[in-house]
Order: sequence, then C-alpha cells, then structure tokens
Amino acid sequence: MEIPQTSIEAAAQLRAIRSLMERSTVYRAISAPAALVAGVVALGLSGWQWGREGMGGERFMVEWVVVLVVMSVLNVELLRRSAAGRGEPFVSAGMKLALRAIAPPMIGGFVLSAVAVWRGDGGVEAAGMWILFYGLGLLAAASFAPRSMKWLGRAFFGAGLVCCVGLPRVGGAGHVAAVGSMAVTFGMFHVVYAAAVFVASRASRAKTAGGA
Amino acid sequence: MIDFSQLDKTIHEKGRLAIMTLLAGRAEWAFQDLKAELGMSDGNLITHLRSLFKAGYVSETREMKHRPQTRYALTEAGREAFTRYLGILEAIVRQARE
Repeated sequence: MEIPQTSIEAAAQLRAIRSLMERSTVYRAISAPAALVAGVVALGLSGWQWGREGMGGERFMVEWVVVLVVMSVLNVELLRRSAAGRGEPFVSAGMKLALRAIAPPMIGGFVLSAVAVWRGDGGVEAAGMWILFYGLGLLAAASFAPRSMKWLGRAFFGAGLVCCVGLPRVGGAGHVAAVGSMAVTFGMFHVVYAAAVFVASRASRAKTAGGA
Repeated sequence: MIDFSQLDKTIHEKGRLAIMTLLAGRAEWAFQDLKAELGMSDGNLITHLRSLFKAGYVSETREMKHRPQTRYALTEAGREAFTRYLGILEAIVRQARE
C-alpha cells in the first residue's frame, strides 16, 4: 500500500485495503475445480450404484468414503496450488479458521452415519446425515466464506433435512432415495457451485481488465 | 476541505496500515499468523506493533499453551482511528468526483 498523494491514489488505497481485508476474512474452503470433479465423480458413483439394490449400508458407505478421501486429497492439492499462485501461505489464518469451524460438524456427521450403518440402518440414513452435516459444516464457516459457499451450505442443509425426515427408508425405494439424494446433492449441487464460481471469477476478471 | 494532512500519521504507513486492516477484519490475530499473512520479518512486525500499541490502537495478550503465544486485537480507539482514516480517504475520493 503506497501513501496516496492524489484522489486517484486514495481510491487505489481504499481498493488495496478492501482486497487485503477480503483476503484475510474470506476463505474458500472448496476449490471450484475440485467441486466440479467431485460432482462428476459423485454422479458417476450414483449411476453405478443405481441398479444395485441388494448392496448393504456398509458397502454403500465404504464406496462413498473412498470417494470422499480421494476428493479431499484433490481439494487440498488444488487449494495448495491456488495459494502458491497468489503468493500466500497454504496453511493460512483463514484456513485454520475454516478448519476449526468445519471440522466438528463433519466429524459428527461421519461418526453418527457410521453408527447408523453399523446398527443395520440402510444407506439412506447415512446419506441424509452426510448431506445435513456437510451443510452444517459449510454454514459454520459462513461468516468468512464467499457467497457461493454460503448458498451451497444452505442448499445442503435444506436437502439434508428433507432427506432425514422425508425419504423412504427401506427396500428398493430406500436404495433409490439414498443414491438419488447423493446424486442431486454431492453431484449436481457441486457442479452448479463450480459453474457459479467459474462464471463469477470470469466476470470479475473481465471487470478488472476493463477497469485497468 | 478534506486533504491528506488529516490522515492519522500512525496508521498512514504501509506496514502499519496493513496490520490495522487485518486486525479490523477479525477479533484477534496470533503473531505468527500476522507474520505469515503479511510476509514481514519478526523485527519489522514487532516494531510496527509496538508503535500501534504505544498509540493505544492495539492490545496485546500473552498466553502460554504448549509454547508462548502473543495475540493482538484492535482496541476501541484503534477501531475508531481506522474508521476515521477510511472515512477521510473516502471523503477525498468523493470530493474529487464532485
């Protein structure tokens, strides 16, 4: 930040202050490319599970946990590259803050779903909990997340409530409900989120280029 | 008539303004996080924080977890000074547009 001497420099100073403030208070915990890949993989896994009505809750859970682990590793790597590209530390204060907010709901959802499956409940119980607690995790970070992530959190939270109380639990209908809800939320919601972030960042770049 | 001479000289320095900006965005910051975010050396950051502390703009909390940690926050006076500083910059820009 340079010392301003003219009103133009004062305006530039204000923009620099705003940019630094946003950088330190807004943290995007889910990179758009990772969300896109995760959405497509979730749709693929849902398609693969669609006709397998005989699969148990354990099998359902294991397959989704494998996807979760792979996608989490990809997300971390993309966030690391993105931070390096901006010349910022990977483990930033924003990341620590986001992890502290997101981790408890995520861990809670994972443990409760694992217990539900272990007790013999179907995949739809686990799916409902994952969707609901993932939404809660994103909403817990809402105070310092970009607007698109807040909307993603609200969408998951609403869908999670519907899944937990309004979907069939047993038999073929229960299986279809579990797989379908995972396809809509972890699949389509993530694809829409990635598309929204790409469109917004392109518009932002165009605006910056136009203003330069 | 508003001009640059009305800007607070304590805040009106590149490093200190960056520190005040970060502190204004969050309740408190650990020294190491400030250092990583701003890319400053220990000595430089300490000097700026000391100036802001002397001016009454920043408070300091020392705590001992598994290692000593110092956390910084804006005081009420610091927040008012920062808001006033931004207000003057905005007024200068507005004045030029009119």
